[in-house]
Amino acid sequence: MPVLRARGIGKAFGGSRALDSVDLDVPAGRVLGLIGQNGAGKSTLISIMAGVLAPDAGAIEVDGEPIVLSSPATALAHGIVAVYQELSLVPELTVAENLFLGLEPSSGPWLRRVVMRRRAREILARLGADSVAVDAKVRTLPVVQQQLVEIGKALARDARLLILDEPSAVLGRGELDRLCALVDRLRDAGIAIIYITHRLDEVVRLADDVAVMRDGHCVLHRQMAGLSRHDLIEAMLGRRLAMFEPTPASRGGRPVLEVSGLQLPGSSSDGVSFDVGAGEIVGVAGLTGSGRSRLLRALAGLEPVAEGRVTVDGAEVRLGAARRSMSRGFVLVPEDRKRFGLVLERSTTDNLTLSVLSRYSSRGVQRRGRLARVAAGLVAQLGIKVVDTGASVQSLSGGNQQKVVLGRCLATEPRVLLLDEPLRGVDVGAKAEILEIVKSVAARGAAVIAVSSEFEDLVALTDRIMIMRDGDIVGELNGDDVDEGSALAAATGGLS
Amino acid sequence: MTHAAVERRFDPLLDRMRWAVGEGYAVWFVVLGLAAYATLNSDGFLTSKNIENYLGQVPVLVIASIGMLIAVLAGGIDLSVGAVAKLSAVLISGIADGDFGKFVVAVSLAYLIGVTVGAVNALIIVRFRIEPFIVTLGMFSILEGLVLAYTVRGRGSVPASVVTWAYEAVGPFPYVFLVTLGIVVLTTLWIRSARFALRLIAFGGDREVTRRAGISSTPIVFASMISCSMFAVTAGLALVIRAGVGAPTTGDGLELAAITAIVVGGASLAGGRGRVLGAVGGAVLLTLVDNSLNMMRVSQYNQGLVRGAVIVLAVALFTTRRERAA
Repeated sequence: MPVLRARGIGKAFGGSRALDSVDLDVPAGRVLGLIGQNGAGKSTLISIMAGVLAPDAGAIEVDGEPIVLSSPATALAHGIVAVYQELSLVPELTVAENLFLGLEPSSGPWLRRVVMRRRAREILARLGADSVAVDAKVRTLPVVQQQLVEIGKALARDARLLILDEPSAVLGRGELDRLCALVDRLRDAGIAIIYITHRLDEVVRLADDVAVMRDGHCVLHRQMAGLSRHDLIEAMLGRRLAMFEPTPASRGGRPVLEVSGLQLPGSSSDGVSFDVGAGEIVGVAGLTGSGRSRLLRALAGLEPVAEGRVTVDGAEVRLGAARRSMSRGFVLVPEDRKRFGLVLERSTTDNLTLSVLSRYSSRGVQRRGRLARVAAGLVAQLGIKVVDTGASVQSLSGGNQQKVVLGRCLATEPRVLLLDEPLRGVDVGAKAEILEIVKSVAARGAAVIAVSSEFEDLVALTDRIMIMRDGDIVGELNGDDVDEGSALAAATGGLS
Repeated sequence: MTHAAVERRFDPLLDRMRWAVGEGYAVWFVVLGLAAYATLNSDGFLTSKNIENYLGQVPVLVIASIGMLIAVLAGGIDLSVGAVAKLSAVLISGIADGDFGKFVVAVSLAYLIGVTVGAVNALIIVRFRIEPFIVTLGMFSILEGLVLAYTVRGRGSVPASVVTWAYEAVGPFPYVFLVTLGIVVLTTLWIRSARFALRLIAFGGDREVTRRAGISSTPIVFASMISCSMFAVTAGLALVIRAGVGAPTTGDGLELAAITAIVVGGASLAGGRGRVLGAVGGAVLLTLVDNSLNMMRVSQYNQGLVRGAVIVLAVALFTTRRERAA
């Protein structure tokens, strides 16, 4: 008997149907991969199962007992715990305090800190995370460990059904292996798991069963065995799509960007040197911490630079100030779009025109009409799906938010477009569109540098791939050499 | 994040110092340094008379700062602290009018008013979802008005026996100081060991997460605002029993001094971060600045200048900037 059985779940917001009679079974000790494009209804579905939203129709059973999930507290009481992409930890509290927040071991009004720490260590041991210090403040931990603490919170609450909402979105590749090992461990402990992701690799690797959502329907729900990645993509899109084909290597024209001996302070390397031609898209691969993001930030003027010479179209650029870099044609699409890419409270129009305000102002006064026209042009050009361009960008899906960031950058008419994880947290459909946009920017003669932890994204996007390790460029792949094995070998320092 | 992790050095002494700075304890080094400087540059500073005098002055700001810390830890702020202290001082002196029996009644009344003010602040914050900053700013204005309606020049007096007690001391330690020390120890223990305190700090650190953990916010807002007001009443009491008369200028700017003290002591005004010992250190430092400037005979006009510079410097040196850690 499945831990959770949902039948005929329906939910409408206003006039639009978010979910239409969805059936779902999640047996104990199995991993259900839940996939679908943004807007397909995954979030609504898990919100209902976590007790955050009430369904309009349908029935939910836990262990065969019909129940009403009226609040997150009732879901918790039935052992259903959701771990969201935005981690719910209090950064200033310690690991142990976070694990037991709300159910602290105590006698009377007093905490029993010794018991709390001991039980925290037990939970971390069950997760195979003995290295995490229970007294460390969560703010001081790397994201990977924070995620372990978040999953630990679920164990502290005796979870029987664990919902993991895109757990891999914040992780690098090495860390992903550990996450997979952890999911396996939890499955073996008999916990039912719903694993939501955009990465088909992970579904293939982890899921015992799969459920594919499209337009509020569950279009495919069966065992994973016998299904290929193509079957899954087709089910998600509802049509066949030729994608992820490596682009024929377009020879870059005259160099737009020339970097020689660029060295970041505190880096032990001799500095990096490379050229990027007009119309060329260069990928940068490497493990987290290899210096790929720092390289982009340095070019964008966001990171101090110790030494090196950088020229754009033959003219030297002094790095170290974002304003100066931007005026010379650099623009960065940052990795964390919510923190550094968007002003979340402001509208789509405001965000799109943020970087070109001075261009469309006269004597310090914004020309609202012209700004609105610029924004409308970008919305149309990039195919941003937005109902009201005056509403806050928070309401947009991940893919559309990313297009807004991209649009803001394109408005500056960049010579060098810097992309840090441009396809992270973006669904398959939007991914293909973003690929097209970036390629069209390059086709107009700009130089593009893209960093990604997803090798297949790099292959789809770029003409050649540079590999970084410890702040150095240690290899380059192009044409037929491009394969993930050799990239990983170079990035990790060899296979030997 | 990853770069910080890579570049982190493991020097034990440096790590201890970082810890002290991170927890807001580093302010105590500044206190020691300033005391040493004042000792060398004035004849009057390191005398038993001045030490006793200083230790008698310190409780007011220490107590007000602890109250402010509780409000700020819970993610709020209380700008009515000075006004509450002032109202308490004026009422206690006015009602007591030199009589001990009436003095006891007046003190009880002051605490009753303190609880009411805190509860009203909390009620408005919770019920109408208005920022604590605005709510308590309004309360500040109302209470200031009430004080001036009651008296313009100060009224009545604290009984002589109480004033005498307020200046008595064991060795160099005035009773008032020892009582304050007790309050510091008790609040430190409470914050460290009470389940409610943990939830209060968690709430200040992240409301949504705390709510999702099944912890309700209303009791936390009420408890923090009421405690803050009660500490403010206590600060007013400490002021008036040494001054003898409650004047409408008593406690002017106490709320800003308390906010400064806790920030110097490492608290974050965003909430969820701060230590009692840090806040106390901040209060001790600010009082020490005033005292040593007097002892070094710095003119009143220049005192403000020096005080401001010391505060900004202390905050710049000894508070960690969270954004830069990320």
